[in-house]
This record gives sequence, C-alpha cells and structure tokens, in this order.
Amino acid sequence: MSPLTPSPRPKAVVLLSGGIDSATCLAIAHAEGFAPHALSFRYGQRHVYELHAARRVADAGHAVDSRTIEMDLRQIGGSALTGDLPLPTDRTTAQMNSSVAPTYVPARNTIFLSYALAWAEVLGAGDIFIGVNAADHAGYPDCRPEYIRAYETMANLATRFGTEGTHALRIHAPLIAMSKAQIIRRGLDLGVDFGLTSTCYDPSDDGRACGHCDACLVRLEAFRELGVADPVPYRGDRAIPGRG
Amino acid sequence: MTGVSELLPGLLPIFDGLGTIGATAVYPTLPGDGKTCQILLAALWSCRGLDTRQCGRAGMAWREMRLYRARSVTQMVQSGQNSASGRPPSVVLILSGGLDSTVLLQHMIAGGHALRALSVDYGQRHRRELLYAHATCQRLGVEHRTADLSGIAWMLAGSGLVNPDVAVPHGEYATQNLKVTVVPNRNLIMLSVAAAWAIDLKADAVAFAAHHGYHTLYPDCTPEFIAATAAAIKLADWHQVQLLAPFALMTKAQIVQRGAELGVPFEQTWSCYEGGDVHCGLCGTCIERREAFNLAGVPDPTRYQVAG
Repeated sequence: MSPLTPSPRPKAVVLLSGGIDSATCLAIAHAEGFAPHALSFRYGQRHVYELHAARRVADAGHAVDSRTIEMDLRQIGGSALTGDLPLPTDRTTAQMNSSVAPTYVPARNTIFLSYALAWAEVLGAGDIFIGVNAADHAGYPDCRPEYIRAYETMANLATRFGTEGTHALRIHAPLIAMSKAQIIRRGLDLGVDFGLTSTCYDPSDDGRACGHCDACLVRLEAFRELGVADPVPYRGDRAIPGRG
Repeated sequence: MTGVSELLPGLLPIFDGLGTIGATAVYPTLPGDGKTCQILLAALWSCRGLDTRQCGRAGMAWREMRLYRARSVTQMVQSGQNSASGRPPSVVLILSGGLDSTVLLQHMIAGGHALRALSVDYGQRHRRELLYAHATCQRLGVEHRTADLSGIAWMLAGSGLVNPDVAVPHGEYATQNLKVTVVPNRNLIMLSVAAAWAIDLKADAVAFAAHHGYHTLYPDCTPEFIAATAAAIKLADWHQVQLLAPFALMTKAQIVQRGAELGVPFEQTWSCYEGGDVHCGLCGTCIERREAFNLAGVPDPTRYQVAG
C-alpha cells in the first residue's frame, strides 16, 4: 500500500432525526474525521415528515449510509408525539420548562441508542453520535449528561467491543452543553443547510412548519437571537420568521 | 466462586442496592425466620469502578464480586411490598415464550407481583415462541403485548442487501441463525422497550430472565451488564424503574427445578431456534434445554424431532 493512501475514516453511527441538533451533530461527526452512518426511526411519530428531512440532511451531510428503523411504539406509550393527545401551542419558555414535555416519549433515547449500538456492532464502529443538548435537559430526562454517561458505561458491557477490550465504545454528545443558538451557530460554521431540516411537531404535508408548537418556538427564538433568518418555510402567520 | 455457593439459589439481584422489590421476586419460599442472608449487591460492586476486563470475561464476576451481609430475609420480604400504596409491586416482564421467562413469570406471580408481559417480534425465525408466550399469558390471566420490532431485520441481512425503507416480510431470513450472536444487542433493545412501557405505566420494575451459564457467548447477560443497565434505566426518566434479573446467578437446571416446584407446564414453553412444529433436538437451545432437565432430574415433557 502506498504511504500516501489515506487511512479510511473510522465509521460512526449518527442518530439523525432531521432536526437542527442532529444535522449539526452529523456535520461535527464528519468534521471530526468519521465516516457517518445515519440512523433514523419511524416510530409512529405524528411528524413523520422529519424522515424526509433526515434523508435530505444525510445526503447533504456526507453520510456514507443512511437507514431508517421501522418500529411501532404506539402500543407502549401515550405521549403527544405518538398518540392522539393534543399538542400544546404558543407556550412560554417557563411553561415548557415546568414539567416533562408532553411530547416526551418514554425511554426514547434508550431505545434509539440501543439500536445504534446494534448497528455499530454490525458495522464494527466504535463511535455513536447523539444530538442531545442543554435545551432538552429540563423536559427530557434521557438528554442529561449523567444519563449519556450511564448509557456509555452499559454499552461497553453489552457488546463484544467493550467486553473484549479492543477499544472502548464511545457515545459522543457534542452538543450537550450548547444552547439552541450555539448549535445553529456551530452548524452554520460547518456549512449545514438548515433549510433541509425539519423541527416542527405538526408540519403540513408539504413540510411547512406550524410556528406554534414548542419545537418551532424554540427554533424561531434561536434564529432570532442569532439575527439569522430561518430558511425553512412556515405556514400562516409565521411565514415571516421571528416573533415578538 | 468462593462465597457464591453460600447464596440461596436465585437470591440476589437487587441491583440497585436498595433491596426493595427484588427480594420477593427472587424466592417466595425464603425462610421467614429472620436468618441473615448474604446478598450480593452487584450494583455496589459495579459502582466501585472495577475494570472487569482485567478479570477475564467469564470468571471475572465471581472472583471480584463482593458479598455484602445485608438485612435479614424477613426485612427483605417485608420491604418487597409497596408500603406507601399497599399495592403489590408492578412489573413488566420480558416474556419470550421460552422456558426461562415462563418460569420467571410464574415465579414472580407466586412472589406477589402484579405482572404484565412484553414480547418482542424481531422477525425471529422461531416466531412460534410468540404463540407460546401469548398462550401462557392467557392461561395465567396476564396482560400481554407484543412490540413489533421486526424493522431491525435489515441489520441482519448485511449492509446494502435490503432497502432500509421497505418493511421486510417476516421469515425473510429463513437461512439465518437468529441466535443472540446474530441479533446484535438484542437484550438491550428488548430492555429499552420494556423500560419505555414500564415508564409509561409508572410501573416499579422491568424483569427479565437472564441466567448464569452463557456469559462468554452473550455479553449482555452478565451481572455487570445488568447492573449497568439498571443504572441507565433509572436515569432515563424522572420515574425510576428498577431492573430485576432474579435468575441471574441460577443455571438453567436450577430454573427447571424452580419451574417444577411451581408446576410450570414445560411443554407449553418453546426453546428451539429452528422454527419447526416440534423441538428439533439438535440446535444449541434444544441441547441446552434437554441438558437442563437432565441435570435437574426433572422429567422432560418436550417432544423432540431427534431423540436424545
């Protein structure tokens, strides 16, 4: 082999929802020298449009492979994301932070990470990226740093990777201390096209965001904070991004 | 193995160290005379930050585990009841329809727990086990749900062979041996789904029938894995769900013995990976099943295609 042959990029599994966080996370994985393998889930979520976004983001984000896991969690959960509960709209930040988010799907990250771990094992990948972040800590217990560390400890015991001691399996959560605005800033620096992403919990069939659900409000606020226009289309009175 | 033999069979897995509902799950026939038992608190041991890899994979646990002289059996059993509400501890049990999980179900019912059972359809070739799981729950009057996780099938087919966005029909992989070694990370995926349901129900615990004996093959059945999973599951939600593995230190033969005590109809459990109408008698699980009955000295009612 020629000494000039570049060593292949190590594979990494990146959990990709098609939103801002995971799009940035994918870009970070690529920037850090990994060959990203994007993994998305169709789990009965009402905002299934995000899977289209995930595919676009994967293609634009140098993912060498992108896959979707089909599973039906509606039998075991009753949250607003998978069930028929009404989604809250136009809440203040204080209201959003006052309790576990009504859009919370129990143990969702545990399930997602477990699939990612399975795929990592099949691929021979030792790295998994997940886009959990500070903005989510309050509403989603499985976005907390201590949860991610506990999962990583367990992952190293669950797999041949860890138990055979070839190398440690790592769960990367590069956004974990970032605000939404910081995540967008980092993504823009890495060339992420946020026009490809989808954040809304209740988008129209053609993917236009509602502008009123918690996810839209947080997103719009972050873009406003940065003084950057949100490139995704909104419907109705949110057609012009930004509020207040 | 020093110390381990001093344990009552099956008495152990209160992996969070709190000793709450595990005890009754473990052995409902515990002596109630207040005799002090040694309880192995794998979580404490695990939390000491011991690098298990230094100990070798199979033998590790036994050499390094610390036995903790714990509270009396009487206390343990009493604390097994949820004193706050007076209701029995509610548990989501992972039920494959096989021998181990069926015995565990009856074991925990006998221990006074309120059980729900979760089976997982991951496109396994031996889907027959799901029918057995369902029939067992009907027989025992236990609520039973099956999570359809057959979407994992593409992982088993090698990359690129299957369009990931097309649902794969069941039975597609008839030529594949769907052992745990081929279904990567199966226990963890099942546990995470069971935890999700338990959290949604505000149940007290998830239980599964990991047992001693095949740790080198299956890293996700080891005590340290169980302890670490328990820790992660407790952090996954504000509502803390415990993880119980009452058979973690028992061999399959001991599980057969326990099943015989409980009157488990073993012929209504399914182990074979081959997916035929009767147990093949030749695959790894059939051999293990047959051997367990022999070691336990319990008559094996299973009809095998190939006699032993």
